[in-house]
Amino acid sequence: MKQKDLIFPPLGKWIKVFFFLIVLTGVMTRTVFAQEKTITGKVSDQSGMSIPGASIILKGTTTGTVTNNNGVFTLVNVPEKSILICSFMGMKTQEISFAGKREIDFVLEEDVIGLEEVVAIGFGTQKKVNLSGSVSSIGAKRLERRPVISTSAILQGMASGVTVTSQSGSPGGDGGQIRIRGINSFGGSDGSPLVLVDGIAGSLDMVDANLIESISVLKDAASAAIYGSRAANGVILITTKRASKEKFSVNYRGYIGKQEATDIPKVTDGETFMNVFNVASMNDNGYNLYSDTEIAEFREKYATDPSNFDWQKAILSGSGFTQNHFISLMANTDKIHVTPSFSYSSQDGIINNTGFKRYAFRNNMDIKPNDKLSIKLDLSVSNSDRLQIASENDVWNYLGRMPTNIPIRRNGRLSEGWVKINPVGLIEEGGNRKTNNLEFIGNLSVDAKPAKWLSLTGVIAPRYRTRNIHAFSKSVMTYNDDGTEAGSAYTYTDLTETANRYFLGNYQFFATATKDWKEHSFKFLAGTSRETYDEKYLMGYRRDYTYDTYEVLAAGADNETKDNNGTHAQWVLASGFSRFNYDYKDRYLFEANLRYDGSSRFSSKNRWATFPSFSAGWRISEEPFMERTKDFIDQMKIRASWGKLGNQNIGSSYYPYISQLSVGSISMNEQIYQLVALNDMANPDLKWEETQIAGVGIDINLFNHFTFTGDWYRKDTDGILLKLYTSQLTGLNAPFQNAAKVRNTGWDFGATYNNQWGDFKLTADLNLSDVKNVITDMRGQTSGTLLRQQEGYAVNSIYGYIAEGLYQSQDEIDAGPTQFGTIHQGDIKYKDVAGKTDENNNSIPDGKISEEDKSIIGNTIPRYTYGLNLDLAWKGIKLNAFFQGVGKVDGYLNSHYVIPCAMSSAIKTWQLDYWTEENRDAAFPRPSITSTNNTQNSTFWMKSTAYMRLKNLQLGYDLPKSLLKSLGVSNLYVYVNAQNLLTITDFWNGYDPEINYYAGATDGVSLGSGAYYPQVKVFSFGVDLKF
Amino acid sequence: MNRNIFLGIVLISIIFTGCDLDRFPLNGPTTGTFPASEEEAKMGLYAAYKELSTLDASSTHMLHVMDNITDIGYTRPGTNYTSPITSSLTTDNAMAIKPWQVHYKTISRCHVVLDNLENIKSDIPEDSYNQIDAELRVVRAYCYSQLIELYGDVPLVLNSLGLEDSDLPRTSKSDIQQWIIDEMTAVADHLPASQSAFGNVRAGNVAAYMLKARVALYSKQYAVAAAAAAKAIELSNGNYDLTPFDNSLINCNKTYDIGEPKCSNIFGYEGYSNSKEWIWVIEYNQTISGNTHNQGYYMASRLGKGCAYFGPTQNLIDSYQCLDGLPVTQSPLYDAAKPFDNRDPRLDMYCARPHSRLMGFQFESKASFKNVNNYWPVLNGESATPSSVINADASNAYRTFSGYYWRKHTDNTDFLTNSSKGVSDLKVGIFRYAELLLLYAEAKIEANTIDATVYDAIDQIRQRAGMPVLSRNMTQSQLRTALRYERKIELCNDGLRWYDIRRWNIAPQIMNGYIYLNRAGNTWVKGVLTAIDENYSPVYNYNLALKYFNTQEVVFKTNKDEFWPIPQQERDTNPNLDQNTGY
Repeated sequence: MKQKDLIFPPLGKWIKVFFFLIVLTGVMTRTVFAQEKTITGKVSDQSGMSIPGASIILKGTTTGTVTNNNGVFTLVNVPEKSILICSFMGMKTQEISFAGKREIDFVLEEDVIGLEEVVAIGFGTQKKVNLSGSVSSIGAKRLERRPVISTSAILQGMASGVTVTSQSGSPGGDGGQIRIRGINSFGGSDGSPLVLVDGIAGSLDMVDANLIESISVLKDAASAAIYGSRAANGVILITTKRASKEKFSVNYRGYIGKQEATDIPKVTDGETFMNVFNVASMNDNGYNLYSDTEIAEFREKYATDPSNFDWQKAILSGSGFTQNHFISLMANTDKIHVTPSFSYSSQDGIINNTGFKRYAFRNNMDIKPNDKLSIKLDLSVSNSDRLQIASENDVWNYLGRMPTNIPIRRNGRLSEGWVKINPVGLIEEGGNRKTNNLEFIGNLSVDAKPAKWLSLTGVIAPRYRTRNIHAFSKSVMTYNDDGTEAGSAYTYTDLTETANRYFLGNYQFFATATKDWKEHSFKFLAGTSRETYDEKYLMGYRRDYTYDTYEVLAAGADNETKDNNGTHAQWVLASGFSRFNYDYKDRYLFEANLRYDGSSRFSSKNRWATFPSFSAGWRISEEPFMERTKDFIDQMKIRASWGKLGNQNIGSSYYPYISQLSVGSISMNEQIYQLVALNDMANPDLKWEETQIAGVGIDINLFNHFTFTGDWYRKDTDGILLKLYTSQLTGLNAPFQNAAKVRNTGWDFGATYNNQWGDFKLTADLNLSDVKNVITDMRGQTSGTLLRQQEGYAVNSIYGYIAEGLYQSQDEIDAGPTQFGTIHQGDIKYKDVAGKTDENNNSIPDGKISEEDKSIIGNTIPRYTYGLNLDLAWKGIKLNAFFQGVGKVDGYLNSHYVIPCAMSSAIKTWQLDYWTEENRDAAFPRPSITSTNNTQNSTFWMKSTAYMRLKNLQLGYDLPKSLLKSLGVSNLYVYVNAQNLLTITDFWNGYDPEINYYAGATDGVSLGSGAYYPQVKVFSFGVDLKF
Repeated sequence: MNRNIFLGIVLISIIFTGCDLDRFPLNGPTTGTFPASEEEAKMGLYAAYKELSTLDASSTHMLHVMDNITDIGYTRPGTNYTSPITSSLTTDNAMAIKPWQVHYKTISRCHVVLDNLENIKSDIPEDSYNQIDAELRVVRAYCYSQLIELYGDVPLVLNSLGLEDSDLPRTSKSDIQQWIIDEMTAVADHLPASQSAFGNVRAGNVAAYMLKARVALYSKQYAVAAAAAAKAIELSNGNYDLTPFDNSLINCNKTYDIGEPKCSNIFGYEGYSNSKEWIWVIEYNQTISGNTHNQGYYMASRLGKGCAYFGPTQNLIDSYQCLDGLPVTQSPLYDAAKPFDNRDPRLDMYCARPHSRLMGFQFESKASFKNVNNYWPVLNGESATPSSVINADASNAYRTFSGYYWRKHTDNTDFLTNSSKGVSDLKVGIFRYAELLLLYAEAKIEANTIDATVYDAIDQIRQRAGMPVLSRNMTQSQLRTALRYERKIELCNDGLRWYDIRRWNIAPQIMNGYIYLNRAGNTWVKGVLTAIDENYSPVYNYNLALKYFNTQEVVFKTNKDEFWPIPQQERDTNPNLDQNTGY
């Protein structure tokens, strides 16, 4: 009884214990067990290397220990005739019966298929075999092979059900857009998954990939429901590396490389440009835009200096040099383990004066004063600087557009270019835009085990972030041939400094209780958390810099043009959560989660919501009747789950239920007066988005070489927080409404094959996913004219006319429907599908192309996304090839990016295949500057953006250990690597197939424009070194 | 024991989460009780006025865009501006959607105050209350007057709408016209005559009566229109008047070497600040973030650092009378070889044609002029001996497409800032005195109550321009022609032509076929023009004209192009909203 009281002190005391755990560290005494029999032993791998940190437990009990730094363990109080189980991550578990021996050595075999793999789940870990939810896990090894600075981009193709799209290769802006199992919602609510770095909400791209131990993707409701209101888009858990077995080691990983654009739209020369525009102008208005003399003059000028007309070469003159260096230490004393690390990355753009630099410090520290207490104190500071030129969008806009009959320079001075924009001038002297992100994350976590079955964890994790943007735009004068000024697109030299600072407070407390009773295991977790958010914004502006080398506000004109602004916003989220696990005979698994969330973003009546989930698994392979298949079926499990999740990430307003008035100014008689206006409509009835996911899955491991995981799911999101187009009669911007329902139905599977023949090793990972997305309800409304949201179709569909080729004769035009303007041969013909109704109320053609004839013509949600990773090794030589792609998806470009002569654009080489009397089978319509007909959104300008990409190719050599030993080096690996080496696609020539995914757009997709920093190929050389 | 632990956890949970979850906006007031004071009501009123400045296309206020999609003005060909004149406007056209959005937004800003104004009636002086109420109702009525011109029948919204009650059907155009007339009758006398202390950004009673007169005239209630216009003219006394042209009038009908004709003392920075011409204006100010436009850039020539987007057509140029008050087809003063001599001085005041000086440069559109004179520094005098510059106005492929430029609503000061990024803050006028006189005259002519005041109204405008007065004792239809000439010439590029040609029902005739442009700066022969018709539209010999001019095909479909389409998205959300015919 006394003993029991020690373990279960009264309630009040436990509260104290929690709050003063750190203080109590030194006070708490170690419980000493009575000794009966002692067993010692050593654990090593097949090569004889000792394994520290391996766990040894007595079968059927929770009694156990771990090996020390030399791989040696001592186990006391061992009863006779028991069985010892030795396990270590990545190794096959071994059982040895005790049988009276005093010394037992284990030699562990590498576990190629990961039966014992432990994966991170919400607020804890779980053995993979015991998972009943759907979780994809990616280990450090696979991440390390990819020399990429943005961690989100690495995830592309890595896990089934996870779609990553990336439009741009811009240094510091090349992060991927992540979608887990389709898109739940649209219209401004954020579809990004919740990213937790060691349990704390954070950003994927601020973590150096070298620091990551593992990434878990929680895909279904069963695994994600513990995160309730923010888990609807899935959850990504990042676990960073912590010190483990070695007493002391130093690890260096680094590479240097060079980037170049994967593809750019190739343009024809100036004479071709002038000729095609003459054809267009003749088609439109019956006269030539350029006379023969003008063309002859151009020819002469061009001949003297052709490079002066090569805009693309002049624009893409950046070095593209990139490098990354990462160094980490692991040190381990008895009670304190530390893993300090430092990483430095830099990337210079493929245009001059652009680049990205990031350094990150992190120290993960574990303090274990005794068996009952463990403390983690992690600190991380990261600082990133992105350098862009001031008007970068203009540069990309003109990369394939700048008329090629215009010289870059006239007599040594910048020429006028187009609309007074000279992109080369903008790069060289147009000013800059510097974005600095400085982030500090602290994570103090105290874990107390007052009893064997109970652990209590308290977490305090502040995250402080500042984001400063320095935008200095310089007026770049352009000149005429005679040296006179032609004007400048940016007439002011001005500076805008903005400062955002964010503080996120994260406080968690949870308790985990485990109890085994005969063949029943119970695990119960309950906790509570609170998150606070505080954001402040401050802006200062001045213009007219007499001395434009001083890029500070104080150097600008101190007059009425100076400006400033500031805002402040907050939200808070409070939650209670619990999880219950039960398994019987390790065979029948059951799990239930319950989360209760309250958010300040909704009015008090809609503030709280409950998110439950249930899942069950059956490990068929453990059944007695499967005994005979044990030879080849290592394990087989079927799973089923159902749960409900929420989403509160609605746009940028943290108070969408309150009508806010905005303050502004009006000028009257040159005096400034303040005004107050209502711009946005509020919706007090707003509540959470709710996503229900039901799914089944199967996990099979065969022949010790082959694993297979397959999942089918149906995900229904209701009450989608959406800015539905509201009648402009209200005069207000649309509010968020719970207005739509979306269903995602899909499957994903992953397969791994792993084998070794002598010195030759092969690992192949394949994952393939499909999702069918449909908006099931939108209150009968639609939104968008090109990027379309419409009931019965996928989110972010493409909407337009159906093109039926080009008109070949006047008779055909006369017989066709009325289209846009006066139609000529060589114009696009559209299909007349509707406009009238017949007697049976069916839609029939009305002889006129109008709004009614538009329909959904394409889908931008990638289907059949896949990744194939091949690892080949022969002795020390390693070859890795990673293919990734999308099987079915559509993309759209319009305007001058594809349409010949639109916006006075340069003529791309492939645009020369336009319609003429002689070229009737043309790919493009007759050139026209004014046609409204040919520029309509239609299938004509849409193309499949399906692609397959050799995302990564790496050849490396692991230097023999024998050679290294004398140098005091334990590992040395050198490699050459190529990224985005090869892309196979049918999309418009010169544009990347992922061009339409723009994270800055409301729905993550922006159709039509091609004005983006191209994706880049990266060739690099790297070294991994370990002492 | 377990129970204790459980309770402990519950207790900790309460410590963690028990705090309140209320977070309120920190950046500004919330609606609730707005407006709570006279000051707040005025700030709400100012928001309505401010919104009027946001109605633009190509960063140019719509008032100065509209004439460039008619017979008198032309815009660089392209999908945006070619479609409205070729009957190919789509229901999602950005330009056709914008006025709908901006006017209803302005109307809603009026309602934010109007709906609750009564609550503070007892707290503020009656005069102030009445004036705020009246101004809001003038702004609202003005918006409706614009909406019905463009879209015909439109929903008549008279209070703030929410999500649930915004599916209003359209009210007939004539009912709205009557409603505007009634509104102005009710509120006009609550306003002071002039709000010049506020730069005429705020409407006075002259504006209210003028709005009433315009809407009454457009709805063919001529007697009502005449009375309202007469009242507005009476109230203008001492406040508003015609402003004489400045001394540069002597440069009209001359060549570039003599000097530059300028109308900026009426239509430029100086005119908006000092003239009495303007009754109601929209003011911009570049010290307010975003409160600028780019009209100067879009209108200016290439040498004027503009992009030569808008310009008058040959049709307009040929409409100007000769100095004797006769059309070019009849006047002995007209010489087709020297077509810009002896013309109504407003041709040079409001438009720029070859051989004239424009923004300090010799303007030549003929390619044979490789170099032209540069008279800068124009703003601080002019250079005695001009320098020579390469003639971008003839060599740039994207020089003027009509062959001419607008001088009206440009200001040489903007030369310094003309650019694609929009930093002009030249004001835009809604009402001016010259239009008021013409409203009065037209109402009296159409009512056939012609008297000396009608001649006087028109003559004031003609005399200012240096044109002879009208001959007396004209018939109603002769006077109608004279009036239509004045509206076409005096009010060109003020944003009134688009609707004039519709309400006079001449659009089906003049907006079908071709409009004529003279990009190459060719000279032409007399036979190109066969007549000037009774609406003062020039009639061309097409085949002969083609030798000298280039053309733009135009299409006007009856029962379609009278109005713009109702924006498709509006119809998608509002089942009670039907579409105009033809779309």
